[in-house]
Amino acid sequence: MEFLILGNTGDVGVAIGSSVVLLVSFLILLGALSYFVWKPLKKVMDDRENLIHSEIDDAEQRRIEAQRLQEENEALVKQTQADISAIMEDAKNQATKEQEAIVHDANTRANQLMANAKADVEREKEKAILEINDQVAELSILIAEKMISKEMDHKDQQKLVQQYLQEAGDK
Amino acid sequence: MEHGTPTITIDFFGLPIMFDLSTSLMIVITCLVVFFVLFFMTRKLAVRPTGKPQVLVEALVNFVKGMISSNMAWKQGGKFHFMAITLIAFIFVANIIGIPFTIILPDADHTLWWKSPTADPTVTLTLAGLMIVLTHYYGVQARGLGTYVKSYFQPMWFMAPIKFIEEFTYNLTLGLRLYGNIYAGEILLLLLVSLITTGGVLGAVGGFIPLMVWQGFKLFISAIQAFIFVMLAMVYLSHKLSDDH
Repeated sequence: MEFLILGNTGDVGVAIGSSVVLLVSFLILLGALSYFVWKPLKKVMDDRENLIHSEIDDAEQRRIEAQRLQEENEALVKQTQADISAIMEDAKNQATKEQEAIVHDANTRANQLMANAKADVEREKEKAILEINDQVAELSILIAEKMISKEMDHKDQQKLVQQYLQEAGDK
Repeated sequence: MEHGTPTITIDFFGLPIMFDLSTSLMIVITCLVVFFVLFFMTRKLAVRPTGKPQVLVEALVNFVKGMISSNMAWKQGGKFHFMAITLIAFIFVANIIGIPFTIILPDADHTLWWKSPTADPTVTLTLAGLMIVLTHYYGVQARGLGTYVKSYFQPMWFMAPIKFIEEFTYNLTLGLRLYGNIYAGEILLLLLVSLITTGGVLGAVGGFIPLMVWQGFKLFISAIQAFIFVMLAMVYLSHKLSDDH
């Protein structure tokens, strides 16, 4: 094989030209691949790495935020429940108080009304009795007038009847 | 089984520069194949990949990244990333490009035109030399010239000649390992092909199965050798970059 010529001094020299071709081609290939393939690819891979990192960070942050919100919400719910119980309690007390007040008021007014009515009735009764008394007196006078018929003048008769009535009233 | 080599010699200011045309052609073809395959595999790049091509190339990129970071800190080795991926892709394609077919002209020399460029020691030794030169360059850059020179006299001063020669053996072993593997594979491929084409019915039947097996095995060797080459280059680089060697 004429290629195995390390140190060979024969007529076939080392193909230095091939070395040159290789070096030039390889360096061009390196440059072209770096520019057209490796750089864009590396950029994409780095982007992905950064994206993953930022997504993980983001997720972590979101988790913490969610936990905070949950705690907040729980506290809020507890607070609200306490508020609701307090309000309910207040309302109940208020209602009881009002109920009592209303009942009391109603009782008072009813009693008042009853008392008034009783008084009215009493008054009317007295008035009626007085009226009846008067009428009875007049009727008695008329009757007496008719019975006695002109034996006494009107004035004496009235005096007498009055006296009788007074005696009757005193008894 | 002697195959001719198409050569052309150009006189460069009195120095005869010889070009191995078939190797040069195959180098250029390999470069084009590597470039266009990778170029078209990475046209639709997305942060969330939609197709297999991008995933495959990314797997290669990450694989090489793993190779580098297994040898040195990524802060130091990151700048060799692109070079290492290009190198492994180039060597792998150069190794397998000779597998599917071969072109031998029917002239008197049986000129061989289509072959793996890495089946040529000039190519592998040039690549190895490039790597070794890089290790020295970055060694000096990373540690300073004084520490770099001093490293030849450690651990003992009289080891200096051995250390010095070692640098050339690195180059030779790195290049010749690749060359030997691929060249042997090519030879066996050519032998099997010639057995099939010239051995009659028996040769054709007897040679076909081994040819397929050998092609598969050569694919495996090609991948392994590309990996070993880049791995060793990174090992040598890390030796020169770090202080503990």
